[in-house]
Amino acid sequence: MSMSLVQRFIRWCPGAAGFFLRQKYYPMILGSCGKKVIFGRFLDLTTPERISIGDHVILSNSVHIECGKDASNSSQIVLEKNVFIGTFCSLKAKKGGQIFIKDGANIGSCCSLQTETLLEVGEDTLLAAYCSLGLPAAEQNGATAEQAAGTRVGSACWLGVRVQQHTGTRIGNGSIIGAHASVSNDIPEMSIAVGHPAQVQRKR
Amino acid sequence: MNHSKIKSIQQQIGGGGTFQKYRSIATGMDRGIAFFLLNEMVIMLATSFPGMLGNKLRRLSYSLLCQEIGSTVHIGRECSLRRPQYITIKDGTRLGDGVSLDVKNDGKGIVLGKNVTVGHSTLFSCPGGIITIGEGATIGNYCRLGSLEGLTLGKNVTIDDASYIVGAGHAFDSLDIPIIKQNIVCKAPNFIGDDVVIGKRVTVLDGVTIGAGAQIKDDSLVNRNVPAAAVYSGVPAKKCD
Repeated sequence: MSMSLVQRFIRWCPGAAGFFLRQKYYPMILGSCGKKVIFGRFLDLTTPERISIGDHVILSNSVHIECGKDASNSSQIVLEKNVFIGTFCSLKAKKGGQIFIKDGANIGSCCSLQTETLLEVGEDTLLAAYCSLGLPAAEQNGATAEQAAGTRVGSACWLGVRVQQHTGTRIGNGSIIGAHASVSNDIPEMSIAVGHPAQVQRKR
Repeated sequence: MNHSKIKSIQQQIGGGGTFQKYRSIATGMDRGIAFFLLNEMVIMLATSFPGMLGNKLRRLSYSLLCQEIGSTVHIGRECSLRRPQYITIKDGTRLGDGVSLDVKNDGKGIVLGKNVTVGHSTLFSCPGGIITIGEGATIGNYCRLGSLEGLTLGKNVTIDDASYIVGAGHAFDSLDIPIIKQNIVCKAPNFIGDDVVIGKRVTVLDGVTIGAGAQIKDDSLVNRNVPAAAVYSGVPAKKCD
């Protein structure tokens, strides 16, 4: 990615000085940016004019946020206020895809969120480390309509370590998905689901 | 079960002016401004310095800040040592690039024994208790090692890439409050015995003890104690035949 020397310096700069510079610089290139956002080092923001960041968001080091440069101009990534994105996370919205991370959500380290349609993570939801959302669906038949409707994680959920969620599925509000589970069907609200494929064990 | 007062990361970092927050994460409030400024200087000048010179510079600078740094320690580029006064790294240990040793507010410390190899981009997070890594351990890249009650690795433990030793879980008893706002809980400290081999992408939950010589295969989820010399695999991990 071509960057001027100044941009490279700001991206690299360690310590308090680095945080200060990035807090002043990134709002100038982003679509919109709230107050008191913390920008870590080594960020890669592709097509930043399509990225909106709310107040008090924290972007940890080495986060990669990528929006497509599609002709329809519908690709966008919106991080609402108080969202936390852990180190090495990757958010990719290509070919008109849109990613919405709602208020207060917490995305753990090394997570990967990708979509070409819609991906939404609800308010106050917790994603543990190494999760993958928006993985291609296992079966192809009848999946297209669901896939177009998008992948959603409800509010106040908790996805354990290394959970994989396939495209087109929904996880209801308040649900807990056990570590290493693979979600390929919808999960109802307030349930606890585990396994590969994830199956509801009980209600909370 | 230990219910800590720690909640989500947004609540941990929230509160206080920006400078206070930064200082409390970088060197903690128990050391003066001079220590903080020295740490800042080390970060600015030594963190990214390339080559052998960079390595020597980092080793020298951090020996001023840390509890103890052995004379043959290698610290890679872009490593991040938070609250260095609680970090001890013994001789012969090598930290890859981008390794993060993060002793948080109530953390007691991180101790890396002799001849430990830590892969790049691995994170040690200590929100409570002590992380002790025994001699000769080999830890892969992109791993996460946490501790709320304490994590102890024996000698010559091998942990392969992207594995996660989870320091704590979340309370979820209350149905009205989002889980992210409920307490962080930890069953017990984690103990990993001598000569244990942990594969790639393994998750070890809090409170688990893995006996000496045990082997955990790739992609497993360990939620119960593993006896010595056992071979476990699967989600959740069960004894292999």
